[in-house]
This record gives sequence, structure tokens and C-alpha cells, in this order.
Amino acid sequence: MNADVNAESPFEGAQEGFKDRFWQSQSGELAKRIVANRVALGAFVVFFVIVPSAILAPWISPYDPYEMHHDAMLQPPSTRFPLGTDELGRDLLSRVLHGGRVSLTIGFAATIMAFVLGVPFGIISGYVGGVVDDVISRVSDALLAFPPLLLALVVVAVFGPKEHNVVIALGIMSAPHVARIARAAALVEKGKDYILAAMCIGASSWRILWRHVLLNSMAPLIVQVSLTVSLCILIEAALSFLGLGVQPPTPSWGNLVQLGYSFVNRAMWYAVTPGVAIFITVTCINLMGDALRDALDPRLRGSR
Amino acid sequence: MASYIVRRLQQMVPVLFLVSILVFSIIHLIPGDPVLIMGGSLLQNRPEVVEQLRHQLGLDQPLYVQYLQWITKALRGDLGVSMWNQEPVTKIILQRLPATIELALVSMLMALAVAIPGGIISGVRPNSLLDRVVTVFVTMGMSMPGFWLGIMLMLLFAVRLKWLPPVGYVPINQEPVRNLRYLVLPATTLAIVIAAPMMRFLRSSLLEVARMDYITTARAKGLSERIVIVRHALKNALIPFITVVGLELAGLLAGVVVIEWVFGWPGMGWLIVDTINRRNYSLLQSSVLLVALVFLFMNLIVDILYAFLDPRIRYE
Repeated sequence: MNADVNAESPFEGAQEGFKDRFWQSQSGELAKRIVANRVALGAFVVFFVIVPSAILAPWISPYDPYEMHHDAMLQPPSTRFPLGTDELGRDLLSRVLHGGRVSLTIGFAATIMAFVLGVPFGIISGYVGGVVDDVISRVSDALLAFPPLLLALVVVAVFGPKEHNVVIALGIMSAPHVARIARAAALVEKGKDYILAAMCIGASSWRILWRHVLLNSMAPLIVQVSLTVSLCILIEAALSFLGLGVQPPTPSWGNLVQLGYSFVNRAMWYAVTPGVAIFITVTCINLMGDALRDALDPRLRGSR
Repeated sequence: MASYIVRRLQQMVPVLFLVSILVFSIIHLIPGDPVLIMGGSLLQNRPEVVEQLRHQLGLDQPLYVQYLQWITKALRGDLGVSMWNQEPVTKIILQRLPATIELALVSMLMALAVAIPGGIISGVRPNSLLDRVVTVFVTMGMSMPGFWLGIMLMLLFAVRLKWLPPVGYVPINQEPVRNLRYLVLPATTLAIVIAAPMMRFLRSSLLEVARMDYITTARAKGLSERIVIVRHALKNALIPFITVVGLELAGLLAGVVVIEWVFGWPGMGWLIVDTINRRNYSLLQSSVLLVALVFLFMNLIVDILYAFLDPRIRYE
């Protein structure tokens, strides 16, 4: 494929570099499909603009998000303050950037927690079956008996509206969904012959679980990551909006909307902007998740 | 069918038990002494009153005894009294329920009016212009924070155009017209929020059904496209769709906290946030229990309905 016709020896030009091997691999197939889907690519790009902006907020914000400018309270967007100011004269652009940092951190941390909890329980539940499966499934059902926001609300109500409690609440809320997916995937893999083969050659249960079941269950779990992240971001925003999440003065996209809501008559931009930030971010994550799901769907593989 | 229902009910029992334990732990997980939390600053320097209260509320007994007392009372319909004003919890909840039910039903009807046609058109003619419009709507609807959408609509219709009142509520039996005017914005917001996933689900459900062999058979038999769609594709695609509708309705009946809060619509969701803010833990415990039970039973009904409509499920 990459044969260099001017090479000195027949072996020289035929080296396949890392790049060639990548594009022919499974991940490469995935990458090719994502690149071909322009919408997903756009979402990818925007997302990778948003996330670094949030991470780098302390360095790229024009002002300190807590600094009050007494001469410029509730100002509409201007050259001095690109997104306007809030009721205490704080620059909204800086607050939205820092808020993004807080909101995204919570969203990702909660997702990690949901997966750390959900995947092991789900896979073990599906693979082992029996009483273990019953117990884990009942607990999971009990958690799913609560509408998502309600569960997070109750956890935060009990333990107090601190940021780490929000992460825990969101993690607990999302873990059962992850566990369900992991369990279903494990059940599917369990029935396959290669597991039987592995057991025949004496592979230990742990090795089977880790090396075979888990790895081959990744596809639906990867898609679930995007769903979980977007749900956690939205619920964190809702919690903060209700005053039960991140507390002011720490900015979070949700509590910025809450503060903006109280000034909705006079200062439209205040409530609109953080909401737009949430909207764009979650849209990107959802679009990427859709693209991933389409790309990983085995039924479509080989039809292109 | 009956055996399926029995099986599902059997599965529910431990779940109900776990849910009640979870809810019961709410007060007892809060850091601090429950009596002091409930009594607040009134009990600061009166230890004898604290002890009396503790005995009266049965808090000096072991946890499992307290749990049993609470659960037996709850099963008989006695959910205790609100810490705030000593009103029976059941009465407070019954006052709030009609608002939530009204909002839930109207929103669901509006959502179905949009989601069913949209989902069908989108699913039957994928990649057409209409499909693309629907897909954009779906993506936007699922990515927007509900409360923000509510605020945007409020900004446009209540603040700028002044066509509708921004927040408020009047019971429907008192002033129906005003009630409906207050209802428009929250119901529209909710309708958009739930219509998006429903449309997407119907679309993908139709696309899946379209690949089935029996559709090819139907066409091969020479049936008109309309009959193929309505009699065969749609009928089967609607089954999973109905379960999604049921689940969304369950969520709505459980009280959509944020929308009710934004629009000052005093339903169950609003009640829960209010009780959290006021630290009214006895009311919180009972309302959370009720909401969880409603949600759980709605899910059960949806499962049974699905089994009824799709015989294959019953034999799993």
C-alpha cells in the first residue's frame, strides 16, 4: 500500500507506519466514521473548544469572577464587558467561564463515580447471576424508583449543598442506569462461546471478567458515558438553579441562571447567557454520543 | 398474562421495602439530632422539652421500632403532621396534587399532539427535509435545560410581548379561564421537553420496524404503502413508544420540580423544594415516599401494559 517504487531494496518502501496501521484498526474505523459525519465533527470541535476554555478559565478570564465593579452594575454587553455584568458589577464572561469549570468538573466527576459504582456491580450481576444478580438488581430498582432529579435533591437535602455532595448525589443517581447497561452487556457476552472456551482452558473467573467480558462490553458503555455526562450537567444545573447545588458566590452555570432569573425583567442577557452555554455544551455531547453510537452499531458495520 | 403480573408484583415487594428504608433514612441520616433539627431554635435551652419531644415522637426507641411504627402508620394512610404548622401531611399533599395532575395531563396531551405526527413523518421518510427539521428539534429539546427554556418562553411571551402572565396559579374550579392562562407557559415548556425524546424514540422505533421481514412481505403482497405503514409498521412501532409515553407521564405525575418552581405552579414538585428549603423534614419524608411510590407504580403499569401489547415479553 505504501510501497515506495524508488526504494533501494524491495523491503524498504513497504513499511507501514503507525498512521497506516491506525486507519486500518478498529479505532481507525471508528475515527473514519466520525470524521465522515460532519455534524459530529463540528460537535467534536466545539466541544474541544469549550472544555479547554473551562479548564483554563482562571487564565483566560478577562476579570476576576468575584471582583465587583461598582461603577458598572447590571450593564448590558459592551466592549468593556463582553457579556455584561451582574447585580454586583461582576463580569459575566468571567463568571460564565468559571461557572463552566465548576459545572463541567462536577459533571465529569459524577460520571466517573457513576461508572466506578455501576460497571463493577452491573458486570458482576450479569455474569454471576443467581442471588447476587437478584440483590443487586433490587437495589438498583429501588434507586430507579425515584425520578432522577428527586433522588439528587434528596441526597443534597440530607447532606448539605456542597459541591462534593452534588457529585455524590449525581453519581448515585446515574449509577443504576450504568449498572443496567453493564449487566445487559455482560449477559450477552456470557452466552458467547469464547467465554466457554476460556473457562475450558482454565482461565480464572477474574481473568474472564476483566479481560473478556468487560472489554467486549465497552461499546454500549462508551455510548452511556455521553448520556451520563449530559444528564449530570443538566441535573447539576437544575440543582444549582433551585439553590440546592453550587452555592453563590461560586459561579456555576445553574446558579448563574438562577440569579439572572431574579433580574429577568431588567437584564435579559444575565439569564440567557449561562443557559446558552449549557445548551451548546450538552448539544455537543449528545451529538458526539449519537455519532459514537452509530459508529459502534455492529449492524451497520461492513455496510459502507 | 396473570403469571407475568404476579411475577412482577413479587419482584416489587423487596423494591418497595428498600424504597421505604431509603426514605426513612432521610431524617436519620441528617447530621445532628433529629429532634433539634425538627424543633429548631425553639428548643435551644430547654433540655427537658427536648427529652419530652423525643419521647413523644418515639425517637428514643431503637431504629427498627421507629421504622415499623412509621411504616404501619403510613400503610394506614397516616403520614404524620407537618413540622411547620401541624397540619396533617395527607391534607397538604392532597391540596397540591390537583395542580400537578393538571399540568401533567395537559403537557402530555400537547406533547403527544406534536410527537406522534412528528415521529411518524420522521420515521416513515428518513432523511427528508421534515425529518431533518424534526431531528434538529429533537436534539435541541433534549439538550436544553428545562428551566432555561421556561425562562426563555417567559421572557418572550410574558415580559416582552405581555401576552401571558409570567407566574402564578389559580385553582381550576375557581377561575377556569385564568387558570388556563397561567397554565400555557409551563405546559408548553414541559411539552417541548418531553416531546423531544418521545419523537426520537418513535422515529427509531419505526426505522427498526421498517427493516423487519414482515414489512417486506406486506409490500410483496401488494398492499398499499398506507396500509403497510398504518396496519403493520405503526402498530408494532407504537408498542415501545407507549412505554416511553408511560415513563414520561410517570415522571410528570411525580411532579416536575424545576418547571413548577420557575412558574410558581404549586404542585408536588414545588412542594418538595419548598419543604427542603424550610427544613420541614417530616413533610419531606412523606412527600418523597409518595412520589417514589407513584413513580414505581406507574413503571409497573407501563411494564404490564407492554406485556399485554407484546405477547413475546410475557414469556421471558
